[in-house]
Amino acid sequence: VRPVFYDLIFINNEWHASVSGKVFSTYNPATGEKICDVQEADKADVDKAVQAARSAFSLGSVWRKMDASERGRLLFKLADLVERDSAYLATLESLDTGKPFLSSFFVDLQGTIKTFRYFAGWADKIHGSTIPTDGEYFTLTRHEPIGVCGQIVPWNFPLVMTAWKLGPALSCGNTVVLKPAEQTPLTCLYIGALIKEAGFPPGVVNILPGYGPTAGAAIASHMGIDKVAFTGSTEVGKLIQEAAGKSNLKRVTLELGGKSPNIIFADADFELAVEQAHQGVFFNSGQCCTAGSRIFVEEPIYEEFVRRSVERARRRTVGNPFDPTTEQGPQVSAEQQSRVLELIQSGITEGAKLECGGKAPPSKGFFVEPTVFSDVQDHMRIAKEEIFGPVQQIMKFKTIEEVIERANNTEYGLAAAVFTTDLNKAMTVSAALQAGTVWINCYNALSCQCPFGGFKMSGNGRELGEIGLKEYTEVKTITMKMSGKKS
Amino acid sequence: IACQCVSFSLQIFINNEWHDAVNKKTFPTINPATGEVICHVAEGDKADVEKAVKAAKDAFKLGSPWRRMDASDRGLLLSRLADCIERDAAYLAELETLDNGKPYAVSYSVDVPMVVKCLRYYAGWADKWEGKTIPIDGDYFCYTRHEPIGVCGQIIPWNFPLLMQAWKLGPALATGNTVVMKVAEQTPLTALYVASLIKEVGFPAGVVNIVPGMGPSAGAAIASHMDVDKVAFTGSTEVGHLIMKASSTSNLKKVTLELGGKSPNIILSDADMEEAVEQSHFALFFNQGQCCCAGSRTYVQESIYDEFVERSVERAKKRIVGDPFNFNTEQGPQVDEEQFQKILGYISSGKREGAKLMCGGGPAADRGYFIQPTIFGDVKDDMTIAREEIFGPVMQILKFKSLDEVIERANDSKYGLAAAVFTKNIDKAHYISNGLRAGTVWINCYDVFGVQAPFGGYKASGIGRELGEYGLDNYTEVKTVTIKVPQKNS
Repeated sequence: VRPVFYDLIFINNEWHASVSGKVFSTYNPATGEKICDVQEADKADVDKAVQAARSAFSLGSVWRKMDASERGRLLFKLADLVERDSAYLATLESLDTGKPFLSSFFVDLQGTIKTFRYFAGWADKIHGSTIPTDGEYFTLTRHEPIGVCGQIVPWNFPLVMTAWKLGPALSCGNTVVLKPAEQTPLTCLYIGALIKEAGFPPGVVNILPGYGPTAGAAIASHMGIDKVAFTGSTEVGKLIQEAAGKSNLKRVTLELGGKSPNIIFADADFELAVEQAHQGVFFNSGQCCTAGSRIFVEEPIYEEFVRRSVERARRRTVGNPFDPTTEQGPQVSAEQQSRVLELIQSGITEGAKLECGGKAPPSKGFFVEPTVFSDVQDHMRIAKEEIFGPVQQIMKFKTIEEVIERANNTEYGLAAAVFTTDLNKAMTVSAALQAGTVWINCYNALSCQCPFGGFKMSGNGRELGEIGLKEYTEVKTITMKMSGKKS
Repeated sequence: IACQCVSFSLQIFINNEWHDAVNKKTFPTINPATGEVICHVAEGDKADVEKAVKAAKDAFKLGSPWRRMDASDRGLLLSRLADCIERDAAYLAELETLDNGKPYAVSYSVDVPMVVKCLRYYAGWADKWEGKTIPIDGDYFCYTRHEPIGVCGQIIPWNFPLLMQAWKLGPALATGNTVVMKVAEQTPLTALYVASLIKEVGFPAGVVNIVPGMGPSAGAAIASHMDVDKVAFTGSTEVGHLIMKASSTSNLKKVTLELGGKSPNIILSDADMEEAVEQSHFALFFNQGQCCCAGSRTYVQESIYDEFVERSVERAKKRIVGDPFNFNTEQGPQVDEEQFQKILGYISSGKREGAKLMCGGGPAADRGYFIQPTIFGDVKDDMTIAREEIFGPVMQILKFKSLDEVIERANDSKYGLAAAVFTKNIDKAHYISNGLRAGTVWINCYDVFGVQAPFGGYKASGIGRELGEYGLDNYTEVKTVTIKVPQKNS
């Protein structure tokens, strides 16, 4: 039985072959085998999609004239449809990404459904203002949609990332040209079918599977796209910003990489800290922008912490994503697997102590053993570069001032955490860390109500929460001459 | 009446269970189209309110399922309630028409869909009602929490039973409160059906409790209960005073009120005549004239006055009064005998005080509480029919000359619920709407409601606003938390 229903390009609520006729393959990373071929979008397809999105956004269109509450209804309907098909979607997600099925089902699918429902609720609550301006004038603001939004999503959480992008964009009334990652196009394309089933007008959402340097670049530099949102590596984030500057100054939001510090004080709840630090770096095979990949442990508990972390890492079950006892699946691709192994080598070469793991297990698929390094020094590559794999770095610190400085000594600033039972330490450290999200006595506690994004080179702008709507809104001020103004 | 698989009872709803009144009393509810008894319903009194408040208080305890529930899950429950009401729309519309007398076509296409939209709107707010973190002076970290108030008493009227229930439950439940609701004795049925849906979708026991009963007994018990933290009342200004008094002599519970109105509808000479006539007709006659915001003082500029009156009379004469279940019917009966007599009394006063009766003026049928669509012309500001809320199908048309004059006359009322202006001129539209002391001002339209837009009264028309984001304020206690920190940084 063929598991994949949608392998074409989605434009105007219809399925299209690529203009060039080209296709690309997507693989099951647990086995290395091809799942299927998918139509490959390039510049010509992006042009078609932008035209459809532009048309759907024109004044007087069905989408522009629709009640805001009705936009919300459609998003809510979409959430219900995702919920209806969640078993299938979780299966497809695990097949294409390698993440454990139970994770896909209980974490990714729930995150997707909740995000769509959350933004469904905002649609008719996006308020402008009436303003007490000086002079005989009546002033108000309209919070309008920006227009055609290009959205480029990554492969680590395909469905969730799609929801994070579509939710606010559609809630605010924009139209979308979305490119899923070439490694993981399948669940995103299925969402296209649900968008049509939910009743979104044609052209409001268009989905173009393809590669970054071709389809992605075409989106970033398109003169007919008003805004681009990208989640991925900092390296490509820079290219997106450059392309926007060189073309039409389209608005840019970026969610990029991280090298997030996780600070464990001696007075922390020890068991909690060990487990949270473990999950914080190993979750999703280490493929999280928020991975707590620099664990700073206060000297008095350092030795014990390393010992217990190694013990925990050794117990981590790696295997077939569809086995319910599996905690960790493969990396998403051969390329990612090589990269992780190369960085592990650098750790060994630069003198960090390899406590466990360190290589690929002898099996099909792109697996990497859960790996722990201790005695990591701040200058080492494994302490500076984003590994995006199941590799835990543990370092030692003495004082609170020292660890704050070391934690902030990075070009990244996506997330951070502090484990302590002391109120003053928690308040001081959380205020001092240059990170978009700071967790206290927890890690990766993410929810759609909370803004998320990076300081410094971890990104521009915030996604989720009410603030997330700002990135998809253009504010228009209207000032009208009045006779006889009154307060 | 269509058969439903959900069982609902003509009893008091407490802790997701159905109870007889403690004293076993019941009261009849009447079909106003025929004057016949539909059925008997348990009559809640002080002792039943006592039970309900206890249940609501328990459901609100720290650590209870309701207090511990994710805000987004409260929203999901409200959403599912909306879905169930939508599912049972035909039945609910039928029951509403049977109990209230409004035309079925309106119950089905206006009341029920608005209920569904209201609940869905507030479902969306549940996890978006945010406090703030605040840059206070000194080495402190300061933030606010938006907490629910607690046990909220809600007393709703009979003119839009389902809709008024939704306007009350939506914001109260979205923000996490628990509720003791007294429904109007004239129209208890649809609210009790909704109670069964509340249980069906999974609200924890005690979160919503519904007590059918009379104002002076059950209503008064709620308004003066020491364990009710807030009371919201929609009804007459007269009773609004009593509610506020009861709060002040008991525990100073927070009070919000949606009361009466005598809303001015101002037609300028440059208005689109056809549109203005039709909208003004609708503004007064909708829902048998039983709207708190009815446009019951129609001020028409001198130069178009005669034509406006003539066309309004023509329109009123065409208004179809009859069986609410007939799809052609525009106007059903008034809700009960008491209202019926009161309205006829006002019509008499109009005639006595010298207003010119242009059409209608009496009962429209032998059975049921039907009144003819009635229009008075040459009405003067000091006449009883120009000052007091009639709440029936009786239209007052008055003449004016200038803008400043009509603004002053429009504002010369103890009420301030709504108002409207019909004009093509952008400057006049804003000049007048800025000058009117009314909670809602409509421009070139009337009775346009959106759950997104706040609604409420100036002056004796009420306290506070319902609907929109503003509606959440009434159901929130703001807690400021200030923490000492070793060193504050911006």
